This record gives sequence, C-alpha cells and structure tokens, in this order.
Amino acid sequence: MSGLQAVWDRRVVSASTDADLWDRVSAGDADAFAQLYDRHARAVYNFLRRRTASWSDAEDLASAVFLHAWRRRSEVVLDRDSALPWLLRTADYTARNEWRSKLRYRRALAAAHLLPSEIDDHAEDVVGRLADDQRIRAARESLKRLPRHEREIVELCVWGGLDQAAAAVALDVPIGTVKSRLSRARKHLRELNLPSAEEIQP
Amino acid sequence: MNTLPPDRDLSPASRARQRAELTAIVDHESATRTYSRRLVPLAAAAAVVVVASAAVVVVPNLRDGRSQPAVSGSTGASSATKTSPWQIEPLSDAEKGELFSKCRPEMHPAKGEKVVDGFRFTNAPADAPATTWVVNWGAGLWYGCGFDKTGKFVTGNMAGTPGQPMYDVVEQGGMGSGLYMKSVARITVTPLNGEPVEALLRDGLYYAPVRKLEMNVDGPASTPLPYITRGYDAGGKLVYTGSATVGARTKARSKCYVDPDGKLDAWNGPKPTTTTSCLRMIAWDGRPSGH
Repeated sequence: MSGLQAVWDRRVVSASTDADLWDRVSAGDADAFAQLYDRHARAVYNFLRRRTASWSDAEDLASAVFLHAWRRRSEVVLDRDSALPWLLRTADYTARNEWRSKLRYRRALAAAHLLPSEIDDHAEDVVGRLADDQRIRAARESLKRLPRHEREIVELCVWGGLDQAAAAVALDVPIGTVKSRLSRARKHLRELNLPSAEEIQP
Repeated sequence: MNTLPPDRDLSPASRARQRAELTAIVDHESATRTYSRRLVPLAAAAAVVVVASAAVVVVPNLRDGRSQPAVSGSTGASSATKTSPWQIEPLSDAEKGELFSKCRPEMHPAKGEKVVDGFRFTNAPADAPATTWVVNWGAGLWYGCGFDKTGKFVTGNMAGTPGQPMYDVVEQGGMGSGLYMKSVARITVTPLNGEPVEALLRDGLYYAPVRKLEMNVDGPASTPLPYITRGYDAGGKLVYTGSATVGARTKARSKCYVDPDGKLDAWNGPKPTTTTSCLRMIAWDGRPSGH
C-alpha cells in the first residue's frame, strides 16, 4: 500500500494506513514519518492553537510533538488505525512542558546539524491569525470555569472533533471515564450558560 | 453555535520547514545510534579521549589520521598557543536585553532566565554572519545565540549543563561554536575549502566567526563536512580533530560511550551487554560568566 497516493486534506498523501506507516517509522523510515506528518500536522497544530491561543507557539510546538512521537514510536497506541488520538495525547504533554519541548527540538536540530530557519509570513495572514488567537483566548477564558478534566474533554470532543473512543485513547483513560466526564462537562456548561454546551452531543 | 475560529493549517513555509527538519532528524537519529540521554550534539567527534586517573590520555590510533591543519605554527608540540586575533567589546545591558528577547521566539525563556554574557566582535571577517553573541542561563543550562550585524538571529544551539558529559574535549554545536574543556587552549574551525579561523574561547564556550555553510550534509563516505574543528592544548599540541568527511563522522558515531560515572550513555545498534569496550565521556568543566 505504501506506493499508493490519495488526496486527503487538500494534499496528496500516502494511502498507507497509519499502522503501515508506524511500522515503517519503527524501522527508521523517514519518508513514512513525513507521510504521518502530512496526514496529522494540521489536526495537531489546531489542537495546540486552541490550547495555547497562539498560532506561533502552536507552530513551534507542533514540530516538538512529532519529535516526541518519533522518539516514543514504540509506545504508539492506534485507535482504529488512527494515530491521531495518541498524537493529541502527545500534544497535551508537549504543551504542558512547553519550554522543555522546544528545547528538546532545538537540540535535535543541532544534533542533525541543522540551523534554525527563518519563517517568512505574509502580513495579512499574520493579522488573521492574531485575530483568531484573540477569539481562542476568549473561548479558553470561558472554559476556565470548568475543572481541568472537563476542559480536556471539551478540547478533544468539541473543539478537536474526536469521538469518545478516540478521546479515551488521547486521554489514556477508559471510555467510561470519557462518557462520565462528557456528561459532567455538558451539565456544567449549561449551568454556566456557556455556548459550548450546545456543541456537546451525547 | 461554534465559538471558535475555523481550523487553519500551518503556513506553507512552516509546514515545509517542519517536514524537512523532522525528516532530517529521523534520518539522523535512525542512522546514528539508539537514542539515549543526549545533552548536546555528538558533533562528529572522531578523536577520542579517555579519562583515566584524572589524566587526559590521547589515543592517537583512533583519530582520523588526517593531515595537520594549515595554520602557521600550529602543528606539533612545539607550536605555541595562539592568541585569538579577534577584538570584542561587551554589550550594554540594553543590547543584551534586546537580543535576549530576540531569542525568545526560538527558545522561550524559563523562569528566572537571564543573560550572563554578551559581546560583539569588532573586527570579524565580512563573510561571518554571527558577530554578536549572548549567553543565557535558564532551565538548568547555558545556551548561546549568535546574531548578525543587523541583530538577526543566525545560529546558536549550543547548550551546556554544569558537568554535562562530553564525547571529547571539544564539541561542535552551531555554526563555528560549541563547548570545550579547560584543557583546550586554542581552537580553530576550518570552513570547507577555506583557511582555519581562530576561535574566541570564553568560559567553556568557543566562538569562531566563520562563513555560513550548509550544515546538514550527508552522502557517500567521502563527502566533506562543512567545517573541521581542531583543538590544541596549552603547549600547542593537537588534542582534538573533528571529522572531515561523512564516513569519518559515521565511524565516530558507531562507538559506544559511558558517562563519567561509568554508566552506559550512548550506543549504536543493539544495546551493548557490557561497557568494557565503551569510551568514557568527560564532564564539561566550563562555567560561563555569572555562574
């Protein structure tokens, strides 16, 4: 399957399954790792964007997530052949350890004899992203009134679009725990009259 | 009602850069050694130094065996230690603060992080991009950032923790910079097809104002590496020579190492069952200003 290509997320990507790709990654196949990056970078980036409310921090941390995933490749847990829930679990860890995550990535770049590159962004795009950041910060501010476990559920199931089984993998908890946390989050959001309550489906 | 902005993708430039960087890292780490505790780059160390009974003993038969550098009076034990030709001036507190903040997009500061050193080369070669340096302390390590004349970040990446294990008496980090042991009195960095450039040695960190070359080099064993770093002791004796080719770098990376306490630290391939044939790393004795 590795030679097949498919259009996914507006990009031509490998039609290999995540399991196929992880097998190849475990053997040190950089091309397979690049294909996994192509497939999941956008979702990981958006998860981090919502977590950090900063597009620039999210960009930096996205690369750190994939570095961490590469170095923990033997620990990957696939959910119905998708590595995304596990990558989001990694993203959560990476965001919690932001400083060390970035530093770790810098060291890996240095060890690979790479110089950090300058990124040129178009001003209009930057303006749009900053406006998005403000909206995300406002949304996060409203979520601060929820306990942490319930915030995580909202991030994954409402903002991230994962179903309950995938969220269980992302949080490394039983699916029953996900169900109960979702239920409590929904109740609290309604009590607090927060708009995200409408987005949580049973 | 969705309260959030729609999903975005990474900018095309960021996506391309990250993809290339991650691919290079995977290539590098899978081709070199089993990932173990690594604090700084292996730095293509081809020379090997064994610490025994607190004495540094050079093992010449494990070196690259390449010709000596073409620096005047620099070969053999008879050459005197050469003083760095570079003139520097200290940065003002305001300049250090500005450059510290310019480092932040790349390395967000840890709590209590501060600049512990900052200087500018006043007579650096015109083709050397990194002419101004600041050294920060934070998150339990020192790291340096090099800037060009306009204040743009151009290199860095070297990081040291107190007493961290080093594979050799010199470890290359970023472009023309890295760590060294106090036993090293002089360092030169030779760009590909260029003349050796003297490095400024400062509290365990060295800085050579070299021209910029692509550092991510791979290919056949004979492929030359962009820079060759050499270290000399106080008597002018060559005590360190970095790898000159991809093949030499690969050979150097094929060894296993134990840390200064004898614990297995790095290896290539299957984990060694015994450490008797591993090389012993040495504890960095640098201590940048302010600590």
